[in-house]
Amino acid sequence: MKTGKGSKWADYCFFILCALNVYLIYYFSSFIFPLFRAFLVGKFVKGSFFYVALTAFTNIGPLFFSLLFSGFFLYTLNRLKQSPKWRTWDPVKLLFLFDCLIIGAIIVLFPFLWMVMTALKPEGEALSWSLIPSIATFKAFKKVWYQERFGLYFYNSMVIALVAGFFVTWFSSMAGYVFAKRNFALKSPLFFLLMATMMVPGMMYMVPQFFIVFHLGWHNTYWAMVVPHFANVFGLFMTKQFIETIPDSLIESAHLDGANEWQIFTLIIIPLSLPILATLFLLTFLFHWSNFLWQLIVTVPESPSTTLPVALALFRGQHATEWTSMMAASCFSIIPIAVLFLFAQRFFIEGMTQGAVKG
Amino acid sequence: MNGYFKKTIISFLIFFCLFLNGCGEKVREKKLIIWVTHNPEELKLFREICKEWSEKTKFPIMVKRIPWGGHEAKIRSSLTIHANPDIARVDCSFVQELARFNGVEPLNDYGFEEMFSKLNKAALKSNLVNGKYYGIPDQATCLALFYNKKLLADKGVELPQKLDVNNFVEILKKVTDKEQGIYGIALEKSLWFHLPFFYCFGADLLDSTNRKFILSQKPGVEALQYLTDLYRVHKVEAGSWQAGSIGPEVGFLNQKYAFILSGPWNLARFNSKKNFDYGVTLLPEGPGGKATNIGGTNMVIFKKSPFKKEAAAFLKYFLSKEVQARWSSLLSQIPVNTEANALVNFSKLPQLKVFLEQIQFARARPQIMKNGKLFEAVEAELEAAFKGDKGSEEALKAARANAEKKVPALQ
Repeated sequence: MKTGKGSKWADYCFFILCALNVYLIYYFSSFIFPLFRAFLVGKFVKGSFFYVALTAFTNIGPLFFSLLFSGFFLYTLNRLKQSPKWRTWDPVKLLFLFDCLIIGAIIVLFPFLWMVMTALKPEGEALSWSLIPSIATFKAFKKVWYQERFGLYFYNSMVIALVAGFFVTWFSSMAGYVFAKRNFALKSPLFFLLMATMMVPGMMYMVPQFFIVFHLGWHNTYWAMVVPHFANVFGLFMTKQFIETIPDSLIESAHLDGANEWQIFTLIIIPLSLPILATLFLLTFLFHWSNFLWQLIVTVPESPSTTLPVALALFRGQHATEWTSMMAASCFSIIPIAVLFLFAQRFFIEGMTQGAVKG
Repeated sequence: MNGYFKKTIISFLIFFCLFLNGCGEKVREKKLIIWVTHNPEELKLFREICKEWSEKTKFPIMVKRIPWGGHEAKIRSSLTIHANPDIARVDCSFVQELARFNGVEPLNDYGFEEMFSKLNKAALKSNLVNGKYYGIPDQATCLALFYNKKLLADKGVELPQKLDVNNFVEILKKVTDKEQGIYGIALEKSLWFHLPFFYCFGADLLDSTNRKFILSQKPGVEALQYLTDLYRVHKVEAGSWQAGSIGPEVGFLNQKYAFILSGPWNLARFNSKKNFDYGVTLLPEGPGGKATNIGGTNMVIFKKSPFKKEAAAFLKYFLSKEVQARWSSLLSQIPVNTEANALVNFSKLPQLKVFLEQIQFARARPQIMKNGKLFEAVEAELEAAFKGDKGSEEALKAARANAEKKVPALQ
């Protein structure tokens, strides 16, 4: 089957893909306009001129918008066709690739979209199947932010996740360096002993840790939330595996140049291990950002030390859940994670793949 | 040690001290501390009631809200370090654990005898351990039958005066329209939601000594057969107990399920949905008569509390008929004090009145520890029966074996 440029088959495919895109545009606009209406409809009296105009606009809008946008889309394609670059591209493949990516993005983003839409719904509508609220309202967002002191909980979680992420990464990298590049007595048995602790479920440590934390006077403090997690065997394992891949010759030449251990660690090991350190930081940050049970146990209820996961759990009752508030709070809570991933995704992917293939 | 190293260490320490300074609450004052799991509306009213009591008695009171999802872990851990409150609102099954581990006070010693006689019997019985009551119900719930008026009207179905398990099946058949994705009834996965059917067939989970599993006896088998037939034979049940299916409440709100079993906690939510017409009626009567289950929460007073008398006085005030009537009227909840019924204007709360009638036929939960384990042991086998992997009798026998293995009280 010939699918290259200029073949009839390619023309058919191109035509079908164009039609599909026009449909996608229509579908997208028939979602956007009712959403636009939902934001405004509560402001007008039913039956008034503006209300009728808004309804008419909502009904005609998708058709008008899709015609306009489809025209623009086809015009752009036509212009591209005349460009010299067109000859080097396979338009069918390109369009197909874009469509696949768009559909993939829609699938991935759909739960988030559902979350935002539910947060915008009035409480009684939270469980209805319609994605778009009949009347969009920011009540849930306002309630969560102002009444539930979410700003404070957000700050607490941020401090805890950042501090824990930083120190876990720091200590793990130091321990990882020692285990990977230095020789000392009982190195292997000690490493295996540490590895063995990974097999003990974390729940087993919880009560003794809580007991210690309380008797140290750290109950209801940030200390209690982060210090017990500084010793992270998984982090040690991860960094050790990565640091082992750094050639010994680099360290030896640094020694020859007169560098001490601290300089070797901070000026050679750390910069070269950035991808794995970023990954470890991200994983630790995520763990602490969503750690519910420990943060619940070590804090006094409703105290200023309350964190986001504990506050989020308050929306779930014995039988009923405040869905709109919970979704609004979830919208806030995913922001740092999204931002962090956005900036660190290159390191994260690099770290995950490099850690996986030790060479 | 060079200067660079020193600077790094010092900056770490400064950073550490700046950010990790907590905000602890250490010293215990003369103040009644209550941990509750209420929703915001309930909490608001509860705080008002607390304030009134505090002003009357001149005894300070502090209410703290803990998440329902973690309340057991929170209370357990607080007990290990004696940082527990004076009163806590807990799930009725948790009272058994707290009592048997000597964490809470028996309330019989605090002059509650008169109050006990006024409370809902089934709700109170869940707190019974070795002949003493270790908790007192502050909220009692039960299941009743919710129906979608529109779906019934579309098929010209009217509910009979007396709904029983036989005519109920006929109604479900009439309402079910598979082409449109409409089903007569949707059942939850949890055993707690199936219990009213078991009870109405004359079955029970455990015998009166709470030492023997009796759900696998003939009435239990008949009840399970009835339930599985709804799905497998009559095909009027939506299969909503399966993972990934549309839950009963969602399907009910979206005009897909005509009947669901639910409790008073949904009244406010369903009433707030626009253009949604629904009703509540008594559950179908079976060979064992009318029945429903009991749910809700209980208040307990902790052994380590320095203010037990004050705590008891507060609970008596909270459960007084006047306060309970107010609680019921404002929050559409069943009053736990039966004397409050006369003070509530049910003409404004017709659906709640059905629950008030239904709860009279409620049966207490088994008074054992690890109630959840018992439920889990049965639920896995119920699912097998619904799927047709096991017959009703076989499934319940397996449930009995599971329960005897997992639940200490049955060993």
